[in-house]
Amino acid sequence: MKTLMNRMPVVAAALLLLAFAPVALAQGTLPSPKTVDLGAGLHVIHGTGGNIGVSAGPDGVFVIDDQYPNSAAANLAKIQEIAGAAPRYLVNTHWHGDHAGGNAAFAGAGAMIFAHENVRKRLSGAVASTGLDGKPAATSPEVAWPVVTFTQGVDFHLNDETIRVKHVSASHTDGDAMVWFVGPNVLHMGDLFFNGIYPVIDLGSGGSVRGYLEVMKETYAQVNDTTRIIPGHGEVGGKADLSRQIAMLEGAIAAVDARIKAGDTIAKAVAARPLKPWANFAWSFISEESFTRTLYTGLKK
Amino acid sequence: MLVRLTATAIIGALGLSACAADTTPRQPDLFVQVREPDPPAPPRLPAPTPAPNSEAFARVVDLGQGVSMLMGQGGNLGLLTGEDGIFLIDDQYATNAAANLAKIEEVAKGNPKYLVNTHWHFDHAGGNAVFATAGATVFAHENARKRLTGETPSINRQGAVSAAAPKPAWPVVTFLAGVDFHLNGQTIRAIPTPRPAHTDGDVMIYFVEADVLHMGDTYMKDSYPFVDIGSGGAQLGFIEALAKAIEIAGPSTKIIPGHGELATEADLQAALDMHRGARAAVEALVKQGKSLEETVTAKPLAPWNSRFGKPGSFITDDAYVTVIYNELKKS
Repeated sequence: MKTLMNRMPVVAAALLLLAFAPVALAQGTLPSPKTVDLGAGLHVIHGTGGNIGVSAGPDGVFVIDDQYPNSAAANLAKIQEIAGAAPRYLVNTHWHGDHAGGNAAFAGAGAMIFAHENVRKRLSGAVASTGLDGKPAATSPEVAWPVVTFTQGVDFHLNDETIRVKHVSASHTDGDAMVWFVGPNVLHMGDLFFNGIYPVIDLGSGGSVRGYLEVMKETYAQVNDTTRIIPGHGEVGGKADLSRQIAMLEGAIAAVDARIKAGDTIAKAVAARPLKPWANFAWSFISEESFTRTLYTGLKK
Repeated sequence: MLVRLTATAIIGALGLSACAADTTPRQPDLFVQVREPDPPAPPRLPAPTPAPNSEAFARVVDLGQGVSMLMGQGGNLGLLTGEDGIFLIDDQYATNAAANLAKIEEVAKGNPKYLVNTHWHFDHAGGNAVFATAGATVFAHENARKRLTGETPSINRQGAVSAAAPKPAWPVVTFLAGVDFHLNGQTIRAIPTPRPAHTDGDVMIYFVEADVLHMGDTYMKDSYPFVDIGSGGAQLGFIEALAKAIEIAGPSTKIIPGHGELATEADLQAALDMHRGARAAVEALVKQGKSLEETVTAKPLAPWNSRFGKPGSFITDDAYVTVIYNELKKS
């Protein structure tokens, strides 16, 4: 994500601001998405929001996430180019606008949308979400709501491949799912993995700081040295990258927790810069200060 | 029961033609029993039912809000029509799938997009390949898929391993804990039974707004159940499945049985009471140290025979006693 950000800082930063306000804003022309071929019919589309996973084959095209409303047309065109067909199945890793914002357009192109039931509840507004600005987050039109929902997960058996969709407990939000392509050993972690940058832990959508670390550790125990991991944001990584991310979060939580235990107010904790050792994880969307605030607030809960 | 059903009618209504003489290329070997009825039991009438034919469902029972029950040979189908896509529960036999598909197109003005199997048996999921080819995505319990693929072997009535279904018939989306569909103004919950009942991959399907519950073969109206031990079924599972169904249902819920006429919550309650009573009655004899033969001869299900064990029923009281006895002895 960092390299991507450097390449197009203005557009990316502007679009990332939409992440927690899934509202179709008028945008200019977007740069063409970049794709990575992982073999076995699997591709990653790095565009302007969360990373898209694509599995192509004769039984139908399977897609993970769909970025923003205004990038949907470009992404659908890219999927058509890669896979030779429009998506038949689409899984949302969670409800945020940089991952599920293209739902309406993808559903219109024929995709059957699957997600954890809390994704539907937050997209529809049945459960209210609070944006990073502290205001109620906008809901989506009905056409964008997932049609098939689950509480624990589902398996797809497509193109001679088993694809496991598994809900994880409250972490980034309260409706996250990861997707594992069993044979090729490729795991899409959604926003449970920001590769090399501070993660977003969305306390306003039922997320949890300690839950986030817990899920990362559980996932680490399940992957092996050959697993390729598609992060929600950033470049495709592996077990070592996940390990680095866990070490950062574990250290950062301990450092902020120490400030809380010392009786610091949030302002004093921020001023003490407990995350200084991990300052290089800062990026345009999540600064060292904002992540300190998230950890402080989340740990205080 | 005002109308006394003949053996033929019951076997037909229960879709048990699968047990008849094998005349079709892919004869479904579904209805597995642990054993033939015991010697003391009255001899069963020969089943005069023809093998599955190519005819479409014969009746459409309108249940409101776009939901209907389709009845013919094989299991009862559940259908939801609407602009978001046609949703179907079960698809009967391979032999009548094409006719069912054509008739659904006529009734619903399109082909099913969503198809849920209540379980793997070929009188319910036999049409999968035809419906999938026509564009349906097939959903089922993970264990239903494993039995259709042959990954988990199923033992048929003759004690042999059942043949696997062809690949196009295998469900594409599987689950263990269930899924919800949000379609055509309905919330549709696919609810696995709490534990194996008819098979180890049973699903009940509830249309929340229309208040219609499809039971699959966890419930056959006014009949002793078919516990398919060769597919991982167990009698205790029927008790828990019906208890769960009654929890979901209310007094005005329309109950679609796997086989038989539309039913009510009161009918489910009667069946649940029967299952519990039957288990307790057999258990009492087991505790007295009775042999299987003695237990069957004692006719412990006599109090329920007038409703659930009418003469000529496919599942006789003796057969049901045998299943319960063996299950209790095993545990």
